[in-house]
Parts: sequence; structure tokens; C-alpha cells
Amino acid sequence: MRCQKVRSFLSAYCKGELTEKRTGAIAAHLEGCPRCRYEETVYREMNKSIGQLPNFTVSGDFNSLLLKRVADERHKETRTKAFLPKRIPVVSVNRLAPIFAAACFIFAFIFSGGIDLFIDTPETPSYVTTELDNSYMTVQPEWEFNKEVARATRINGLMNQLSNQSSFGSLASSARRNNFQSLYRARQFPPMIRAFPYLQSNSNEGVNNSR
Amino acid sequence: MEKETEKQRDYNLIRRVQNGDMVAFNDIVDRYKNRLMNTIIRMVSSQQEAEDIVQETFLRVYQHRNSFDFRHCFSTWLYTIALNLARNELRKRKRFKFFDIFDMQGHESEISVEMKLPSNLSKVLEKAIESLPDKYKTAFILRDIQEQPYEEVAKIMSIPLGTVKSRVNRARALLRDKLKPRMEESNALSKGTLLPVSLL
Repeated sequence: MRCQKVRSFLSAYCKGELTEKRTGAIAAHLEGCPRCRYEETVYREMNKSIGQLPNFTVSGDFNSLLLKRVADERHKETRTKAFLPKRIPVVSVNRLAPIFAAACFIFAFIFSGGIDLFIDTPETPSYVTTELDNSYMTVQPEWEFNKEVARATRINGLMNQLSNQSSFGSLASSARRNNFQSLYRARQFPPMIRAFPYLQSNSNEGVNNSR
Repeated sequence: MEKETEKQRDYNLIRRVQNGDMVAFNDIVDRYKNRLMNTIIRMVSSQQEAEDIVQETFLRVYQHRNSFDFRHCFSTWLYTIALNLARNELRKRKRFKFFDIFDMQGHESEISVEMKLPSNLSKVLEKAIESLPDKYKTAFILRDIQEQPYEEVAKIMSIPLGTVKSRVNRARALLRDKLKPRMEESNALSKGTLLPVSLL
């Protein structure tokens, strides 16, 4: 062994930390090398000094001070236990994140219709129609309104005939007014009435005639 | 064998502490307080701060007694807590470093007087240990002063075994370099060596 290598192992050699084989090799080298033997002596002296280092001890009231702090800690624990459950659930973002992600995924899956892939829907019986009866939604004002208009016109004509007779003039005008009011109430659609100016003109004519 | 019984005794004590036995806790404190003190005081170099750290260590042990993992050694757990607290203290000290000119002058003179006296090798050794870089100092204190096995030191410091061995070896070499001139001055070696005077 060369001196440099022996010196790198000397501290461990002096502490007896090396394998038997390496210890033997170093011992053999030390016998013939005074410089390395000197280094070994330095390490041994150092180890002796380390063994003689003073032992530090804690102060006399260390235990009492510590036990006082521990007693405070116990008191705190007891008080906490009185008000809170034994294991307080810890809610942290790290724990909530996967739950939130899973909830989002489930919502998206259900609302996108993906769940239909897994649920067997029963076959619809032949007597049940799958089509909605939406006839009530169909607005068919034309014929009804026409009917109403025809009725109003007919009445108006009758009223005109009546108003031509002087004895029935006031009666006819009030009847015409009632007729239009009822028409208005029935349809709740006054702009459509204005779309038929001949009704108005007829009624005006009737009024004028009555006057 | 002795180490195993020590370990078993620690396990029994901590189990009793977990069941609320304060006598067992007091036993643990008595077993470890001086060992911890010897380690921490060499790291922080202040009796009062070291004592505070040791006290805080035992308080943490009590607070977290139920989280102790019985797969590991109790002393490893204890030393890890203490060294982490000491490291925090050193970090804080670096952050809030104040210099008092008057104090510095006083200390300088004290140190210089002490270093001129080669007779007291222990004091010189203490100073040399104090001047070691933190990573070497911790490994050296745990291994050579506290005589913990390398494996335990590796666990306490959370570093590989090989790194511990190299750090301890490096620390010993640095100390040897610092102590050698003092030893030569005190002529302590000349009696037991066959070294020629010219080499000394």
C-alpha cells in the first residue's frame, strides 16, 4: 500500500472500523513507514482528546420546567377533547381536488347522455305513441277569428238595418258597441280589429246614422 | 445485544407514554437529556439555547407521541427532531446576525489569548470542532462523540451511508490538520514516537 492511501484510512484504522484484511495491510505498512506511524500517533492522540471532552449537563430545574410545559400541553389536549371529536377531519385542497374532479366527471357523463350506454331502456309498447300531442300548442286563430268577424259583421249589418229605423237607433248603437266589446274581450287581440277598418267604418256609419 | 435491549426498553417506555404514563416520559427525559445536550451544545455553542432546544425536543416528542413509528429506532427519531430544531436555530441566527463592536473586540482578545496557550488540548479541540462546517460537524459529533453507529447517523441525517462515512473521515482529517500544530507545540507526541526530530 502507498502512503497516501494508508493515510486516507488511518482515522478509521485507529477507530477499528476497517475490515481485517485492510487492517492487516495498514499495520504492515506502518511497521516500515515512520511518517505514517507519526500520522497514526496524531490520530490516536486526537481520539484520546475526544474521549476527554467535558460532558455537558442540563441545568437542575430542567425536568421541572419541562414537565410544567408538558402539563400545559396535557391541559390543552384535555380542553380540546372536551369540545372537539377525537379525530378532527382534516379538509385540505389536496384531498378535495380528486373528489371535485370525480364529481365533475360524473356530472359531465350523465348530462352528455353517456349513461344511456349502460342503462337498458325498455321497449316502448305498440299502443303507446312516443310522439307528443302538441296540438294544443298550434295556434289557429284564422278560422275562429274569421268566424267571430263574420258574426260581428252580420250583427253589424243587422244593427245598421235597425238603425235605419228611427225608433231602434239608440238601441242599435248600444248593441253594436257591446258587440265590439265582446269581440275585443273574446280575442284579446285589439290590433287585429284595427286591421279590419271596414268594421270600424261600418260601426261609425251606424253611429253617424243613429245621430 | 446491549443495543437491542436498549432499543426494547425505549419501545416499552414510549408505549407507556402513549398510554398516558408520565413516569415513563420522565424516564425517557432522564435517559436522553444529557446525550442530546452534548450534541446540541456543540452545534449551537450556547448553553441556554441548547437547553431550550433540548426542552423543545422533548415537548415535541410528547406532542407527537402517537405518531412514533415502531419500525424505527426511538433514539433516531429523537435525534432527528433535535437536529432539525438546532438547524432551524442556526438558520435563524444567520438571518438575524447582529454585530456588536464592543463584543467582537472582547471575544477577539479572548480567543487570541486562548489559542496562544497550547497546553489545554481539550479546549483547542472544542474550538476546532466548533469551526468545522455544519455538515461535517453534525456527522462527526453523532459518530465520534455520541458514538452512534454509521447506519443510525445516516438515518438521522437522511443521507446515504457512504456520504456519512466520507463526511466523518473528512471531519477527522480537518481536525487532525488543526490539532497537529498544537500537539507539536506541546511536544506531546515526541515521547511515544520513533520519529526523527527533523520531522517534528
